This record gives sequence, structure tokens and C-alpha cells, in this order.
Amino acid sequence: MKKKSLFQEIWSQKFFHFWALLGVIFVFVISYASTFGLVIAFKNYNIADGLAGMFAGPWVGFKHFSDFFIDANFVRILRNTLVLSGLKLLFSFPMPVLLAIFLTEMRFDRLRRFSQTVSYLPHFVSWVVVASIVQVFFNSMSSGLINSMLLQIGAIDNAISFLTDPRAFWALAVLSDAWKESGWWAIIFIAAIASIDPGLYEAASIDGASRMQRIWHITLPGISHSIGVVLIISLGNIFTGGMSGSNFDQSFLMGNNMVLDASEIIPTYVYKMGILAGRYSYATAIGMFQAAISLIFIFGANYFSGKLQGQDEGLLL
Amino acid sequence: MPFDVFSIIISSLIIFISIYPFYYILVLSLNEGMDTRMGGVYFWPRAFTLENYTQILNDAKWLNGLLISVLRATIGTVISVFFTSIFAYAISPSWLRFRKFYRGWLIVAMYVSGGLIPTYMVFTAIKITNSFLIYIVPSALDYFFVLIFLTYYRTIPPSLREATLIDGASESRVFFDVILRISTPILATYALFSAVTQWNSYFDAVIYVHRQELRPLAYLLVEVLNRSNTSQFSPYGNAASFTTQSLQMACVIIAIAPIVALYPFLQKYFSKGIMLGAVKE
Repeated sequence: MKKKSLFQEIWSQKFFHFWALLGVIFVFVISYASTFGLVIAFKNYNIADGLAGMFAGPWVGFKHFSDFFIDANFVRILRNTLVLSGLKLLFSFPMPVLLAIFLTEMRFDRLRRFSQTVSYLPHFVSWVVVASIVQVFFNSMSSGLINSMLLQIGAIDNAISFLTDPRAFWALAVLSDAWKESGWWAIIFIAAIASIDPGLYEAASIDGASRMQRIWHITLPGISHSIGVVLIISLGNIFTGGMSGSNFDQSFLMGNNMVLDASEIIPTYVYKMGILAGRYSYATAIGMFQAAISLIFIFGANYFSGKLQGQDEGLLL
Repeated sequence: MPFDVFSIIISSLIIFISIYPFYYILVLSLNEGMDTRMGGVYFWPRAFTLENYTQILNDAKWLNGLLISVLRATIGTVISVFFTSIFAYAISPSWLRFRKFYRGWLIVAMYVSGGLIPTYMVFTAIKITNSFLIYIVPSALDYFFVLIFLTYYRTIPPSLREATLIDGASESRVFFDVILRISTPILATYALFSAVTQWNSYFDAVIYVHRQELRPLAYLLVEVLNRSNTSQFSPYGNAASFTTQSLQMACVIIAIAPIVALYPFLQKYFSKGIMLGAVKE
């Protein structure tokens, strides 16, 4: 058979190249095109100039970045971002691991399967629904579920304003995140535990190991790789809210003017500065700052995960 | 066994914590708003009524929101399932020219984005904002699921395509009649994922849509959420704000209902789906 020319080869594969090229164009417009827009972070962009103004506007160097660093809100929103993600790493990260260990340890097959199945139902509902639930549970009227209960048993005399207390916002954010996503992430750890060699458990039982010893010496080391991967994902999402990346939804939906001190984070600030206030260049610069730090975090976490294991290659990349 | 007692208590607690918040919303949606205001409603409606639901289903604004949500969940899903599956198929053959380029182009795009404002500018420039297109165009191709489809297509023997071609079928016939037919599990998984995502989305409507008649149910829920947030400040507010809450509860139930109805399928397909994302390539 004669060797086909490049053109003939591509022509014979035209069905594939047609759809592939359509996808390539789509990806360019939807994803890559916006990266050109990043230049406005270094310019004074005027919305009135339209798309062309992106390239025409005057260069201002890193002015918008330095403006952000001296912005009266800078310290506060950076703190809120890191505190929210940090608290989630501390509290809602261990939850799925504990849940997975508990569910795999317990007997009563049907009860176990049912608990696991309902535990990740909240994952599939919208954050709008979860925020509505939080509002109904914690609202400061005496009819709010928690207040109503506390009043009825006489634990408090007056309704507590959970939703308008900045300190309570952090607690509610972590709580609702753990409630919505623990069951979902537990699936990964349950699968990891299921792949541990059952012979190890049998041997440990013969040697007289207690349940806690088995969990500590077999289960936890057996799932350390999965824990590591999820931890790296969480660290990479340090600005968006840990493994489930829930910071924005929470601050946007559960935040209000009374708790702004605790709820305002970098992404909601980008939204306010850009979409609401029309300061496009400034908002783009803030977004870029966040993306750059996130990148450092994900590569850093990946590098250290490799070092911890004594390998050249990280866990994730 | 003390652990057995412990495990029954804890698993009952898990079930209660997972289900009760939804159940409580259901109870409030079936209770008179003014009665709920007095507190003390926990496990069943004290003043049963269907009025909250009839109010909503007679309100043109809510019906319209429901319609938009249904439309974006169906049209958006059909388009996205089609484009995502055919694009993945088009770049899947191992003998395809430029295969590495196509794959690389996609994978880099997963990590690259101009962020909120530049994306907003692009979407405005290509004139898909403030129109129904904003719901279906950007989500027409799911990059992550392209990779999952690729993994799936790899398990299909190439001889299947060759045999069908020898029978005189065209390449597109191979895809539509053979490949799609044997890809049902992965198509169903992605269709469910896409429909749930579309149904739950509100933020695209917040940024890109200003026309009232294009706002989906989830957006209307955000509006109510903000309204009752501010009504928190007056514990003795007027009766209307409390009715707002009981209506809100009925809306939340309407927003949850399809998810619960699809749940048997969701949990069947997705407990496997999440693992695909967790495996290192």
C-alpha cells in the first residue's frame, strides 16, 4: 500500500478532526480568550472602551496590585479567606475520615449502607438550599429552630442573633460545610479502606490487637495516600475554601452586612469591585493575585508530599 | 458488645443529622406561616396547610423561574452530553493525527482562566449574556468529563468501529449507532451530573442576566434569602415577612424535590464517579 500524504491522512480522518476542531475553537473562546483580558490588571481599563480598550488603555504597571495591598480591606479579607479555609481544614477535613472509619468498622450491614447513602444526600443540593436551611435553623427570631428549642428548655432568656454575629459566621460556615460535604468525601476513604488487605486485620486479631490498635496501625496507614491527596487538593484550594471550595457560596449567600467583617473574602471582593462597582482593572488584579498564591500553594503542597514520602515525585502531579 | 450499641447510636445520629434539616423544611412548608412564627414546630405541621404551595404555583414569577430551571436542566444537559461525548470520541483514537495536541489543549484549559472579570468581558463580547445562551453555551463542554469519556472509550475494542465501517456505515453512523449505544452508563452519569449542576446554578444568573423572565428558580431563592436576611432585624416584623418564610420553605422543597427523586440514580452512578477523579493518572 502506498504511504498516504499528510493531507490525505487528515482527510480520511475528517469526521474526527471536524469535531475536534470545533472543540478546540470552543475551548479557545470560553477558556483561553479570557486570559488575554488579564492585561487589564496592568492598565487603566475603561468599560466604555469595550473590548478594544483592553489593549488601548494606558499601562500602569503594578499600580492596582500595590493599591490592593494598601486597601483598607486587604488585611481583613485576606484574614477571613485564610481563617475560613484553615478552620475547614482543621474541622471539616477530619470528618469524612472519621465517618469512613466508623462506617467500615460497624456491623449491621443494612443500617450501615443506609447511613452512608443518606450521608451524602446534602452534597447534591444547591448552596442556596443549604443557606436557606441555615437561615431557618439559626434565625434570631424566637421561631428559629435553635432559638425556639433553647427558649423552650429555658437555656436562654432571649433569642440569640446567630446570623448577625460575625464570630458565629465562621462557626456556621464550617458547620454547614461539614454537613454538606462530609458524606461525599467519605466515599473516597471508604473505597480506600476497602482496598486494604483483609489478611492484615485477621493477623492483627490473632495477635490480640484491640479495635483502636487496628484502626491506628492498619486502617490509617492504609489510607494515608488518599488522605494526602485530599489534603493537597484542600491546600491548593486554600483561597476557595478547602476540599469542597465552598467559601464563595457561603460568603455570598450566608453573609450579610452585619457579618461583613467576618464573611468578606477575596472572591466576593473581586465580585463587588468588578461587577458591582465597575472597577475592572482593580478586580482583575486582585483575582490574579489570588490565582498566583493558589498556584504556589498547590505546587508547594505537592512538592512536600513527595519529600515526606522520600520520593522525587509528588502525590498529585 | 459495647461497640455495637455505640455504632447503632452514632449511625442513627448520622441518619438524623442528614435527613432532619430537609424534613424540617418540609414540615414548615406544610404549616401556616403565622403559626410557625410562634415557634415550637419541630416534627409535624401544627396548622396544616397547602396554601404555601398553591400560592407559589399560582404566581407567574415563580412558575416562570421553574420553567427556566427545567429548560436549562433539559436543553443544557442534552447539548452538553452531545458535545462532550462527541468531542471526547473525536480525540480518542490512538491513530489520530494531532491527538496529543487536542488532549493538551484541553488539559491546559482546565488550569487556565482569566478569572471573573476577563471571563465576563469575553462573554459580553460574544453576546451570550442576558440571554438563555449563557446557561447552555459555557457549559456545553465539560473538560473534566471529556477525560472520563476518554477513559471509557479506551475500553471499547477498535475492531467494533472497523467492522461497522466494513458493513458500509459512515464514521458518524459508527458514533451514533454503535458507540453511543454501548456508552449508556457513562452518558447517564454525565447527564445526571449536568442536570443537577444546571438545576442548582444561580451565580451565572446573578452576574450575567438582568432580565427578570430569564431568572431560574435558584436565583429567585437567592432573592428570597436576601429579603428574609434583612427581615431578621425586626423580630416583631409584620406578618408578611413570615409568610415570606413559609413561601420560601415551599420553594426550597420544590428545589430539592427533583434531586431527591433522582437520588437513587445519583448515588448509584456517582459513588463510582467520584473515584475516577481521585485516581492519579
